[in-house]
Amino acid sequence: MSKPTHIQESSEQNHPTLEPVFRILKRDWSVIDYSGEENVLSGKNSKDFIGQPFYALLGLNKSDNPIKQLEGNSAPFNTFLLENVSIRNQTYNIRIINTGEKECIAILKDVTEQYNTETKLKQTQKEFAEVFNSITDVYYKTNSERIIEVMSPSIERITGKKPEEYIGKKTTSLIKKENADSIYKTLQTVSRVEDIRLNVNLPNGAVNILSFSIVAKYDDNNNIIGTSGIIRDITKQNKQDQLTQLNKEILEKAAKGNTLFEILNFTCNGIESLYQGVMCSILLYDKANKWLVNGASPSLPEAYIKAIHQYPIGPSNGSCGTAAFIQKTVVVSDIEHNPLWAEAAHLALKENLRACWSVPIISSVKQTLGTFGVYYEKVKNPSDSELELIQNIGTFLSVVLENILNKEALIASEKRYRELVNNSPVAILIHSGGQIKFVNDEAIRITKATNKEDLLGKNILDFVEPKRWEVVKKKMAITAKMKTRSEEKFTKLDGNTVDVEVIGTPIIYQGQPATQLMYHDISDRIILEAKQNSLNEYLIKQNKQLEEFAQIASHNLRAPIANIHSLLQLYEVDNSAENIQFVIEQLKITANNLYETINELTEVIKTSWELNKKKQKLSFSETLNKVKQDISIEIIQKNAVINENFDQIDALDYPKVYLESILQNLLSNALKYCSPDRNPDIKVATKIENNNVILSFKDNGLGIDLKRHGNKIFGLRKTFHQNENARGVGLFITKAQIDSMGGVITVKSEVNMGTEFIVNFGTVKP
Amino acid sequence: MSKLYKIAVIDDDEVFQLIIKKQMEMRKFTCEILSFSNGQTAIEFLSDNLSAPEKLPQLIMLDVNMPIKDGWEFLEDYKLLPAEIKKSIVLYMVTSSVIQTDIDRAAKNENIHGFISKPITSQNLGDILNQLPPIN
Repeated sequence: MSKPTHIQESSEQNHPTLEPVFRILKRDWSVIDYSGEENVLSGKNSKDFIGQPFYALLGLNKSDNPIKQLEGNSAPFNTFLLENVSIRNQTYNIRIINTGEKECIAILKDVTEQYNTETKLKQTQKEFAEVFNSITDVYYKTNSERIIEVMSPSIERITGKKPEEYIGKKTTSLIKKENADSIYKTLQTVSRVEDIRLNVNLPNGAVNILSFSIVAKYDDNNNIIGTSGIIRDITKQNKQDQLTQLNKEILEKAAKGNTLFEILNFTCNGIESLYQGVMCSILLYDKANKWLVNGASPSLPEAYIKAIHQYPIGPSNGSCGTAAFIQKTVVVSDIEHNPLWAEAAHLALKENLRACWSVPIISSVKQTLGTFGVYYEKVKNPSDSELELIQNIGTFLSVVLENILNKEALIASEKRYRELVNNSPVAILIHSGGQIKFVNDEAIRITKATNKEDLLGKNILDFVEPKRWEVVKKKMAITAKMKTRSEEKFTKLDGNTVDVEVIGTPIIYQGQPATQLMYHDISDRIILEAKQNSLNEYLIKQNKQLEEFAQIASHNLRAPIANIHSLLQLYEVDNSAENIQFVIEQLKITANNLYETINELTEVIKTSWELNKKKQKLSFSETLNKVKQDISIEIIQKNAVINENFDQIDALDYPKVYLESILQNLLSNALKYCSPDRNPDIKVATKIENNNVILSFKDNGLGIDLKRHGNKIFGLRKTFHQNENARGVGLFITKAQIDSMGGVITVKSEVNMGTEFIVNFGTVKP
Repeated sequence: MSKLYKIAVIDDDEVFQLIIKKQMEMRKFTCEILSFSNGQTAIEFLSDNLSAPEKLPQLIMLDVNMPIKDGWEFLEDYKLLPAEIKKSIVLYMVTSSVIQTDIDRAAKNENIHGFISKPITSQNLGDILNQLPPIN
């Protein structure tokens, strides 16, 4: 199988080009080979053709396949020509050559230019013929008595009367007397008048516009001795001018943003003023309900408009309903007897509407937008030019309507969007490279600006703390490429900061790459979170204390009970007098331990989880004095010196039992764990630091190895010294009490140097 | 002089100490009870006698909650003792604690042979003593 050869037609073209040649398989009309230029048929690559049905390349359906006739035709070299096939704005002549039973060849010849020239030529010829036919210039002459002496035969084409009917008669046979007199008077002073336009009632009833150009002749005394003139019927030309003018005005109104109904009414009124007896009606198609609604029908009777408002479309629903349905012009010259009006005729006839021609208004995407209809009060068939006119108006209206509807939809959607953005409870800010381009009301409010001018043009970094710049710049670089979500601190115009959650999206704003930030104030949330966290921490602490307490309670109570158990077992095995004595002695000790333990636990419960935490005005010095009195014996025994300094702050609003308990525990601890080598020297002082009341309790005692015991120092039942009085309860209670009031207790210590407990009572107002 | 088993009872509960002693007497288990009231004195004793193995106990009964140095702190120090010393010592935790975390923690500690909740029964005690290696 050889490739089809390229056919060159250099005789017709200056540059020999390779014409597209397709080899086609008749079985399914698929292209099996192609040669020629690459960019034919909308620049597709030739490879794209292979395997595709040829008719599809021409933009046709299988049923319209133009070379179908070759099916089963095996006569070789049977050729035929498809002329002026339009494919994507180009026009081709396609020569089909039958090459046998299975295949054929199609050669495309681009005749676009040639075709366009021919079409243009035909158009020009048509226009020329129209102009030629419309020449109706009439030449006439009058004498001194204003009697017509000469009248050219072409007068018949204007008025329908022969020249003889005018010759010998006064000019008033042609125009109204007042017009004739007015012209004659003018000619007495000027010798020539041109293009005087007069509405002339023709014998056939029509009113045409005739243009008169007249020259007068005078005698020596300046009396008119005769006139000669040219009459031209400019009715049609004038209509054309007026239509063009109307056309312009409608477009102007559309451009100026007049409403749809204003424009449609203006259109109807304009056309009605140009054509007598016509009543225009523009109906709009409501796609959702499949019916027509009145757009503008300024001259139709109101009752009729009411009757046809929301009139459904259908194959026989009057002129407009049908035109909208079949998307074709519907001419009904006699409503009374037309089947399309079978149901609606009575509505029209009641208002004396007898003829209705309607054209559909169809959008560029073949959607029905509405109808343009004209009504007459008499039975009437349109002339060719009338039909052409209403069709042209229909097309024109489709452009106008589509534009307005699109614009209105656009404006409505833009308005919706704008309202959404402006009323959004979320702040919206658009910046380009950091420069603020747009802000909505909420963005203004959050930033504490008074208006958008406070923000526009500024850099986004102006609203971020300088120490965050590097981080924010990195975030901005990422957000320029993808959607991000993060939390940030914005500096408001009043200098305060606000915590926000920000969603950044890369967008195009006014043709520039930009970033849209949507953010909302999360300060409340953060405060709430912080509150919740501190509450959680407090609960965890409390829980830990309770757990510890429960463990200790269980352990401390179980231990003596276990002993009682064991002792009773010993008694059962051996009830000798000696053993009974042993058991009873041990039971006594155990009973004592149990009693002590229960007392301790009760004390812990009472003081740590005291429900009555009512604060009252207390004095450190007074409270300490009371505590000193309570344990004065120990103080004297240990020969302790207590230095007090409450100069900075002596007052504290705190539960009385707690403060007493805290001071007592700290003081007795200091005495209990004093160094055997030196007298206790205890320094108690208070101060205010960052609005917090701080108590320092410092001794020169044994100290605690904090590296070892630091984490347990406030635990229950933890003792760290070989001291028989150590019970490990005091500090546990102290810490529990301070914690429960939102304070903090910390410890500093060095073995054999001393210990300092520091109590921060929190933001307690003195 | 025939050698005696040495049993270290590390517990701040004096009554418990006496009860153990009594229980040993009653089951006619002749042994020497080394009493320690907290982990500190016990570990000091062990450390001081590393070179005199005849003074070291074959069994340690260790309480958890004690002042100064509790059972767990004792075990931290105990871990550092030479392996051959620990090899010849059976260590039981004997405590009134019934807290699961303590039980779990004991199970993970390779130096602990068992965990017994007080009161310690005669049966328990018999089982423990049966584990002791014979002394030469």
